[in-house]
Amino acid sequence: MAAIAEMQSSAPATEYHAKHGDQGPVIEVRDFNLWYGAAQALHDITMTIERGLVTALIGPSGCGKSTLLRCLNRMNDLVDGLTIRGTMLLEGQDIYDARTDVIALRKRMGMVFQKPNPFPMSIYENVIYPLRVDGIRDRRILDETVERALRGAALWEEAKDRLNESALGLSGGQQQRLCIARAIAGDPEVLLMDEPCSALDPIATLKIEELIDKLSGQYTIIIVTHNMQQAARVSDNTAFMYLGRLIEYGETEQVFTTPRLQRTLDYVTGRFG
Amino acid sequence: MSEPAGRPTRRRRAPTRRSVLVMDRLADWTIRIGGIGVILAVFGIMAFLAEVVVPLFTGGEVLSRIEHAKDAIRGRVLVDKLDEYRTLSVALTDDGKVTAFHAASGRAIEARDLDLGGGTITSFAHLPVNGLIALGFADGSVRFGRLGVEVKVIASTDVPAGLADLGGGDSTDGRAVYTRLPGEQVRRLAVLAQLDPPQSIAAGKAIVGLDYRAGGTVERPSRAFVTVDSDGVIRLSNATSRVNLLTRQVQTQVATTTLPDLPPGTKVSRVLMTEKADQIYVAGEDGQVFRFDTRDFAKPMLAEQLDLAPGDQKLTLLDFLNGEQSIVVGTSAGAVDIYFRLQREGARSSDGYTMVRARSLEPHGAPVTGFAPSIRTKSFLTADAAGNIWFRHATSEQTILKLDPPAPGLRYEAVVLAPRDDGILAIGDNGRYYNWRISVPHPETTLHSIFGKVWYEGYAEPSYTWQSSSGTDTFEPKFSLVPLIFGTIKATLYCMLFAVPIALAAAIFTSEFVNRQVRAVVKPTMEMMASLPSVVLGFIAALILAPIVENWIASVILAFAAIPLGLFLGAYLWQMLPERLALRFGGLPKFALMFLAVGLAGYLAWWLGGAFERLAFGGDFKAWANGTVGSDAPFLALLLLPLSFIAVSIGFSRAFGLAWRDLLRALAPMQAGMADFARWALLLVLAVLLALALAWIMTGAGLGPRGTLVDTYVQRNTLVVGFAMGFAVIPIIYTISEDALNAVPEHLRAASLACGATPWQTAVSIILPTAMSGVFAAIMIGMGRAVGETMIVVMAAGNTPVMEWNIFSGLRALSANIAVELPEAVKDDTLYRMLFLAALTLFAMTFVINTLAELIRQRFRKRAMQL
Repeated sequence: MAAIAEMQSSAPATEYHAKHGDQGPVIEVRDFNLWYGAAQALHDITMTIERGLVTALIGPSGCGKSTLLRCLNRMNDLVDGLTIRGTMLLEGQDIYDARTDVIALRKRMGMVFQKPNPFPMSIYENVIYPLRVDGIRDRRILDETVERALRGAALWEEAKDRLNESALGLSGGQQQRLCIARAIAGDPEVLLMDEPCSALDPIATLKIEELIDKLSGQYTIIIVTHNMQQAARVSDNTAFMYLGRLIEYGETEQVFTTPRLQRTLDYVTGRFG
Repeated sequence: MSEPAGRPTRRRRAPTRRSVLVMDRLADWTIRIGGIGVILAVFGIMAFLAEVVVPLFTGGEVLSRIEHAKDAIRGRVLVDKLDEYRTLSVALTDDGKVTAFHAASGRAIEARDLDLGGGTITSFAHLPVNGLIALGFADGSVRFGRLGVEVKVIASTDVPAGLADLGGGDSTDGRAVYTRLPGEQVRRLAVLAQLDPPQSIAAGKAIVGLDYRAGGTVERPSRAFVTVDSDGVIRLSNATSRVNLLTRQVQTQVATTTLPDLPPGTKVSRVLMTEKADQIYVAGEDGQVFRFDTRDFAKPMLAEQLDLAPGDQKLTLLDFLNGEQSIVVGTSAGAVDIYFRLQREGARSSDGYTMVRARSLEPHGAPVTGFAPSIRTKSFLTADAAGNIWFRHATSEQTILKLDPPAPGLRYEAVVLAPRDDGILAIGDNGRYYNWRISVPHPETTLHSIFGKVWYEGYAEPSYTWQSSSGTDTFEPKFSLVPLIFGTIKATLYCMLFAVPIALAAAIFTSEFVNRQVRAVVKPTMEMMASLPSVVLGFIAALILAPIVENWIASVILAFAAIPLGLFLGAYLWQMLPERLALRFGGLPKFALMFLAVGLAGYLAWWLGGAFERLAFGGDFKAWANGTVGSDAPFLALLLLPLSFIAVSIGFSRAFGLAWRDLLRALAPMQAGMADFARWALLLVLAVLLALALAWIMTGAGLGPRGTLVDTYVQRNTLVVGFAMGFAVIPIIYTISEDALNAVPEHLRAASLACGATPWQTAVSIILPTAMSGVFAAIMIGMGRAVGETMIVVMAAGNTPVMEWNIFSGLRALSANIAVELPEAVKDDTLYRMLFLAALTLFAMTFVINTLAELIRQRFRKRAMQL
């Protein structure tokens, strides 16, 4: 432990210059550490996520950006041998408190995964799954939600005539937008996106990016991406992570044009990573 | 791809080595031959089974026919006898002459004539089984005797010299036929003909009808005989002889009683008596049959009178089939029917029995004139006035052989069926006799007799029955596969009812709710259960489980409700635990607590068993199951409880679900736990009330389970089989379905959980439907195992081929039947082939199940493939 403490003290401090939204922070992360077994994956992450803004997490593979994202809605609970230390607050409520209702927590955060993962059911059933889970059976509410969510995910025009067909018949981009529709159907506060475009072609990617842009006002979006241009295009704030540490967290424009740290500059200009 | 310059590429460019190619080709062929070999083997087995089974349905064939002039026979033939080897034929004519001839060559063999003492034969009776004959004379006397072929096997050195060759290994000295046998032995066949002294029955009146049966012991032989004299007086006589052991003198006492008079003008054409002399049938020519009940010898009475040949028809045939249970009736119109004497409610007879026409066989085109029963089976011959001889079988109702008249306008004086049912000898009125060699290996089986309802001898109505063998020759084999198929289905169904929920719940539990370490222990343990030999399971089930279940049946039934309720109760109590404790004991202690809950519930069920039996089953479960005490309602309520609980729960969540959720959220965790427990308890009470009310209504409407699902309790029953076979099937279903559930892509699980679904909701609405193809395959494979399972059903099912859904009665499965009856089957006989048919049926059942399973699985899989 002494060695770890030493390493932490010797680690360079994070450079912060993030933009502040007008509604204050929604998530606060304080001194968050995470170990997979004996290997530490996250080191002393401290950051706030601003409400209503799009925050991008970038960094080379294995830097811990997806891990951090998955910690936010405790999806990492499924992993064996996980140890965490530190605090994560969603609107002041400790995410990792033993008393926290994980199920209720996840309902407040929609999540979109790397690979489109619609359920093997109809488009309609996919979208209303969060409501089904809540036990809502009122057909009117369900119909309204489907339209709202699909419109929100810019899929309504393409899918409205085939709502009862299998979601697996959609193209990859459509499937991912369906997953976004599913994520927003439950009306969450935060939308977590884990490399949502990595499995998609450029045109589908463009559509998703437009969608993120459109949703940015309504939801707090945290997006993990490998694609620097994407981060630059869609996000307000960008966090650059490297080897499990948060290196620089600042306004996107500045991170990409005039980063304060050399390492960030090297990464965003493609010198390593 | 272009090669980078300057790098050595020789090795990659070298042609593939020969040995590699040869190995590749070799592997290709080996795998191909292996695969084709497996397919061929399966089809080979199927073809072999079919090949063995087909003769059951192919009827019979005539192998050869010979005919010769019957020079020696002069008078009208009364009876003709043929020995077991179809060598020697002995005919008795109405002039008292006994004539014997070699059946194959027609050569006459010397025979002693019967000394009739100048009497004129007016009536005649004989028993095909033992060669006993009786003659009635014009002077009112009767004489008994024997007629047949005496067979002896002698050493070839004892054969007299100078024999005349008869062909086919037979030779004769003029008095006997000698047949060479393998191993220096010779079979000697000679005529056996003897006649006892006359007994006067109806002084001066000719005996026109006669039948008799012999019984008693060697020291005290007895004979019963019935006579009809020319005045129409019917007498029943009982002669008991006593042999003096020292002097060999025979003293005979005859007791005679007279039967009630027939209506005047009745011309008696036939008299029949049963073996025990308790029933006498007297037939008039016009078809009126009078059945007398002579159980009380001193007071015989007319039990029943009926017209068996309606209209102008005449009754031309009235005789017993082998076993004397069936009466064959033939008429001048050609009809051949079989009647049983059955006890019937509302019978118009004085003894409660009535004659029932059970089978109507294919009618002849001309009056039925001849009849010869088999002495071993229910086969018989009928001949008609147009010269046709038909070989029939009573059980299967089929006409197997139709022998056309060898000469136009021919009528037969006598037809004989060889003792082994392998030959027919007919004496024509044209001075010739005809000898057919036939082969009818399986006359008793047709598709209908195997898969349809058959009216068996002595049965009140047509039924599906399996009863393949018995101690006597007179037994009618009952080869219906339906009870066995039913038994297989019943065992499988009850076993699956028990096994599927447990196996699936276990699979869901280990794949979705426990961490990897626990799973790594539980799964191999469950798989080890599959390696328990089924003979051990059957043994334990039959010798240990069956008596336990029998002793504590009320507790066992109670346990079915108590164990799930105990688990639920435990879960709700757990929710009420303070969070601190709940977190601390969340791991192994919680796991142990589940076992504790099951154990406690089991103990409670055992402890309350007696009280439960008094409350629900009137204090005696077996009497209750019989339907003698108690009411259906409590048991029915127990059956309905799960359904009513589900209904009540759905009703509650429809009505108050959301409001209740908000309320729970507003409460502190412990209070929420208590509130939820209170809700559960309330719903349970409501469900019990609903179940009781429903049960009461259904019982009132006559829909109680007794008589159908529940009936007389037998120790080796389907419940025990269900338990034991469940043990054999659960590991298979568990392992395969657990693999299927585990194979569901992790991203679906993550997607569902990220949507805020609980692990249970995820399992039920995402994982299970996605893994459906695998789960379904698991269930089907388990079902295949249950269908083919043998040892457990042999040992624990009681092997009673009954057809009822009663869970407390035994059953006989196809597989068990093959195992049990294998030692009784003689190669190529009917039972042997029937067992192969059972095997083929089993094969077909598993084939159909697997094909259906595969089709349904493919449909599910198409969906899963897209993931």
